[in-house]
Amino acid sequence: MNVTTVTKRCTAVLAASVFAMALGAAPGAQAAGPKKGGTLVAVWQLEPHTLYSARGGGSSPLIVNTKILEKLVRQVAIDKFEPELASSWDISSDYKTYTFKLRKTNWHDGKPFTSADVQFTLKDVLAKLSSNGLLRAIEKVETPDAQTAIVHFSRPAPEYLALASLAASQSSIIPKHIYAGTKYSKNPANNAPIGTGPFKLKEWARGSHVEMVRNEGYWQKGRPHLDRLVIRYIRDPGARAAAMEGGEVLLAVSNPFPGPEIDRLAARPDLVADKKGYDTSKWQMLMEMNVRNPILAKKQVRQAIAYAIDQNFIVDTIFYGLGNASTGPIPVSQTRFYSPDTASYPYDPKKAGELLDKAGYPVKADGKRFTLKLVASPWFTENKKTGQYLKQVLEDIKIGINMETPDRGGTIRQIYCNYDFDITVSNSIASADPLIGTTHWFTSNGIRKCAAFRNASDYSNPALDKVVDQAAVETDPAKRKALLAEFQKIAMENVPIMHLVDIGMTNVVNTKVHNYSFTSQWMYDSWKDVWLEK
Amino acid sequence: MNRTFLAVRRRLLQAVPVVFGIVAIIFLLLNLSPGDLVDVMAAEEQISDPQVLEQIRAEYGLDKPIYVQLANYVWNIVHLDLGYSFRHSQPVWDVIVERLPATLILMSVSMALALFIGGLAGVVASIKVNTLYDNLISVVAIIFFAAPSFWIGLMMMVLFSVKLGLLPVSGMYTIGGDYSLAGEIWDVTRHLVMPSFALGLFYAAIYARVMRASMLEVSGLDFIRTARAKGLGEKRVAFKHILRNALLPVVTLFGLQLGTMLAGSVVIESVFSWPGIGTLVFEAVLTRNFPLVMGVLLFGSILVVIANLAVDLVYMRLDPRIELR
Amino acid sequence: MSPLLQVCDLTTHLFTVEGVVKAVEGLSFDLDADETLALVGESGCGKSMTALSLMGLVPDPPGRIVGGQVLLGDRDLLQLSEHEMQKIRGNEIAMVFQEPMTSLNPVFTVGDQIVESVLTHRQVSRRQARERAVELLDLVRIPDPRGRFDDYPHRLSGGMRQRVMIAMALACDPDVLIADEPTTALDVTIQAQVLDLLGELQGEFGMGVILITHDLGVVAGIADRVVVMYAGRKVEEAPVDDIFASPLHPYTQGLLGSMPRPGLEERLREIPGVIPSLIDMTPGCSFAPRCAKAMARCREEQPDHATIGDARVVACFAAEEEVAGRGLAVDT
Ligand SMILES: Nc1ncnc2c1ncn2[C@@H]1O[C@H](COP(=O)(O)OP(=O)(O)OP(=O)(O)O)[C@@H](O)[C@H]1O
Ligand SMILES: [Mg+2]
Repeated sequence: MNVTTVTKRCTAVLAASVFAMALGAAPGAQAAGPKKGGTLVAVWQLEPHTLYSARGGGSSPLIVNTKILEKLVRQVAIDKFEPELASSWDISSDYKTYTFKLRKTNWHDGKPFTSADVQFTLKDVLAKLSSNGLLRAIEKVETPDAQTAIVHFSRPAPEYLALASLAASQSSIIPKHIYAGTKYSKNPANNAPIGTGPFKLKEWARGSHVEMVRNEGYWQKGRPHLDRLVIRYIRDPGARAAAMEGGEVLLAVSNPFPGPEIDRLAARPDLVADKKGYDTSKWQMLMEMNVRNPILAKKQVRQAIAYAIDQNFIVDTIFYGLGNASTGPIPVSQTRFYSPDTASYPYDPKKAGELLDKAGYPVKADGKRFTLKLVASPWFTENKKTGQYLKQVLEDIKIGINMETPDRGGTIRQIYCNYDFDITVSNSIASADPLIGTTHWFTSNGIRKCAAFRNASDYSNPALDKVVDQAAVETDPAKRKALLAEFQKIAMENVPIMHLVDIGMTNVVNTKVHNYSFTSQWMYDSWKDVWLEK
Repeated sequence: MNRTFLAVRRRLLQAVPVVFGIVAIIFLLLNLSPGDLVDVMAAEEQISDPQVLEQIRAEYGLDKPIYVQLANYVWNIVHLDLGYSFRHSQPVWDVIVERLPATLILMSVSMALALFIGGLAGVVASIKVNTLYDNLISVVAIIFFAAPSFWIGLMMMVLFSVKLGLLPVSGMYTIGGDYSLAGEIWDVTRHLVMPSFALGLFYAAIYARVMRASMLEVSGLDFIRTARAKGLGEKRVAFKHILRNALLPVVTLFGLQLGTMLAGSVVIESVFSWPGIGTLVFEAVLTRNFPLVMGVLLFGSILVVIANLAVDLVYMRLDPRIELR
Repeated sequence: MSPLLQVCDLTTHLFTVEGVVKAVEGLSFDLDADETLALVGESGCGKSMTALSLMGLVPDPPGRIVGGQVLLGDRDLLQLSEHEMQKIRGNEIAMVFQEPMTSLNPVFTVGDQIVESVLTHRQVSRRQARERAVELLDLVRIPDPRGRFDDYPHRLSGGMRQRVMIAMALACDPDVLIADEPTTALDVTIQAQVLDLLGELQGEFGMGVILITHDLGVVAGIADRVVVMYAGRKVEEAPVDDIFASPLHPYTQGLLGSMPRPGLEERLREIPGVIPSLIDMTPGCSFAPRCAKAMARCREEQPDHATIGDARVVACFAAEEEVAGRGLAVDT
């Protein structure tokens, strides 16, 4: 595929025209032009503990602060980036230096936004705190003038990886004059972020909602369309549905309801179910296998377990058809890196049994081959159900299963700190680039005690490590894609982690809302283009 | 009255060691649960550096042995410092005080509703004992007793908000609504209707049944016959002589149930997105934010101590045979 | 002059799951103003049920008055509506109950409870009612009546409470006062005081008093006439002196025999046997199974009330024969 918009030089003018095209194709954009004004009330299930955390802090803070803070670049599709706080950028031929031209704009408190803020955010915050290896490789940021920031990486930074990293929801630029010299985790601005974005925080009524209002001084003329943006916190799915039906809430993102409920709501004339906007932020359900257990250390055993699982059954029954069977660590929808050329494990319990026999685990006198501890995590309600399904099918092939379902804190401790499991049901999120959040589930340096959502399996394979290390610095897109295909191939051949489902993501939207879901991680977009019918 | 004052003061002083006992037990129980705040934060924040985790643990004081942590906590409590919620970047006190009024409003209105509706239903049922009214009240009470309150809440939501559009779905006030003081009170009242009924009806059902039984029992006592022998009408007998005595078990129950109602409000607050303590403590437990959990429970136990004292004072007013000791 | 209160053929049944308890069966008696009538009988013979029937307070369910008349002046109380009856209770007929410990409402002061009685039937101000209450407390010989007024019942002794009950009953100058075993629950010295008080007050107020008791000893000093009840029925009625001098009915004789009397050192004779069940009544005289003088006829036929002389009534074949033998006129 010819990547048109990822060029070495990208001007604001060009971006604007490309963007206009994107707008035209966006769902919900009707013939009538966008209208200014109105209050969009969106709903989210979990109230964040804080509105900004330098390390990211999970989806609850991010869904709010991405409306207030901005990144240097904005990712609008798998292969499409556009300028945000940077109006343009240049990349050196060795891919180690990125030069950003910055917009002239002000922070919400009136102080000017300058290259010093970019320098501070990238060098003093992200390079120190980010879990993204590339951002940690930022060596220095030069600021020849207020509107120029030159970023030096210690190693070649592949363009796609670099832009995707800078466009990631956690890479928002924060004001140096507020944060410099303070303890980031205790800064009061964490609960009242000051940004450059289209919306300003008006009030965080704890336990209830966050209210944001239009930033009148926003750098892009005519944006945002909305006067006000409110994010309400409603924990109970039934109550969320009632709020949607009652028209009190107009937008619910990221699978706000169980499958059948989505169908019921979407059948209403005033609501639609929308499945776009998650191409570079897709959740997967996976099963980790702990190779510290000598039984699971055998590849044949892991493969046998993989054969014993009918992924389509999970998709159809547990996810009500909303999603698809994963074929590996990169979801099918991530078209830039997805490779179908991997080992696959179609449902075949007989073969699973044979493999186990061959591996030296015949059925013993007690009717079992061996017994495993299954920990099903609580992050998604489907996890526990899937755990029960796994217990069933694995017991069918005579593997005894003891299932445990600790709560959030207990699960993190048990899986990622104490490694007290044999197999798990957990989840990962597939970002734009596999190097951002996917490969560390498999690599040797992903093994970090107590660091959650990384390699808890203890799987270590020099061949895989080498491929990933190369992909981290390979600047030729085609070669890089081949390396990552190789990564998928090794991962699936050895299956220390079996990805089960690419979870289908759905938003439920009131028909009054227009121009949503057109970027590839729209939930974390600033929503400056959304408008409401009066 | 002076004696009452002394007794109240003594009771409050006696409550102090009890509260500290509760604090210590809860503290130890909480620390028995696997995982700590840092685990949860590490997961959310994608912290991958074990050294950083150790740093944070040291900063939060989680690296010390449990008994040292407990001693520190108690020491701080003595100095009226509830600690710091690192998760909220706020002192625990501030976090709680911000959310406490909503819970207090919800609980007191629910309790008032429960007492009024349950009490009235119980009185009517006992006066009309074994009639259609009585049976009807019994059936309704059983339904509200057996049905989970979150379900009742959702059903009310579907009926009154979605279908009839009479009441706001959830929350405590209209977001961005710009009202006068009276308008604001009216707005909150409208939001309060469903959660307070959803929470209160369960207790109303209990009170109705206890009230009915208690009324019937009292109505068989000798002094009720005396009241009738005076020539008093049935209504006066029921509402003056029987009710006053029949209230005693209900008041006792009320005192006992304040604690459980605090727990019940967690569910209702979560269903109706009521910005109170309930949702806060739920989240705090899940994230192992123990200073906050402890703070809330401390508040809760003080609340229960005070409420029980108030109940005893009421009891004393209702029944002159009882004296506060 | 017609009697103050006339009870004719009063029949009160209790419809229980075990069967119909015939608590009061065809009971008749008169009460004159200024007279104390004692209603005597063993426990369970229907004395309280009689009193409650007169008050219109028979617990329903299970009880119901199934027949008879209770004439107060020219009104039949049994025909009155509940509302009309409320105007009579505590006003024209008042009652003092058996158990002083439980008959006062524990949550109101004794003063308030008396005031309530006054206010229920009299159009007076609260202050006046209060004054009246203090007056009544004084009348029943409660020391420091003003101080006691604000006391709760639990602070008073049993005797004091019974005095309060009496004060309450007298609040509206009743014509008829029913005292249902007013002293049973009290200890002996207090018993005498309360009985004396009742006697004095009866004179002062000029009421007709029905004194219910199972203790004939109580009757001697205070009653004018005695009605002896057995198993819901009247078995004998006579002026108090006649009862003690020459009891006619074997049951009355038995009662007297079981009564300790000063000077008499002989052992007390118990009436043999037990009170019959009021549910399955045998035909014939209900006392027959326990009666030494019972004849074949007694087990088949219910003896009628025979009038003997001008003031005595007895229901007993043996007594009739005996009396006839002594040459007295028997009128059945
Ligand atoms: N509520 C009731 N249900 C059933 N039977 C009753 C009830 N009340 C009284 N009785 C029965 O009615 C009969 C008469 O009772 P009553 O109370 O009039 O007796 P009494 O002569 O007053 O006895 P005591 O000296 O013990 O007071 C007794 O046999 C008693 O068992
Ligand atoms: Mg009696």
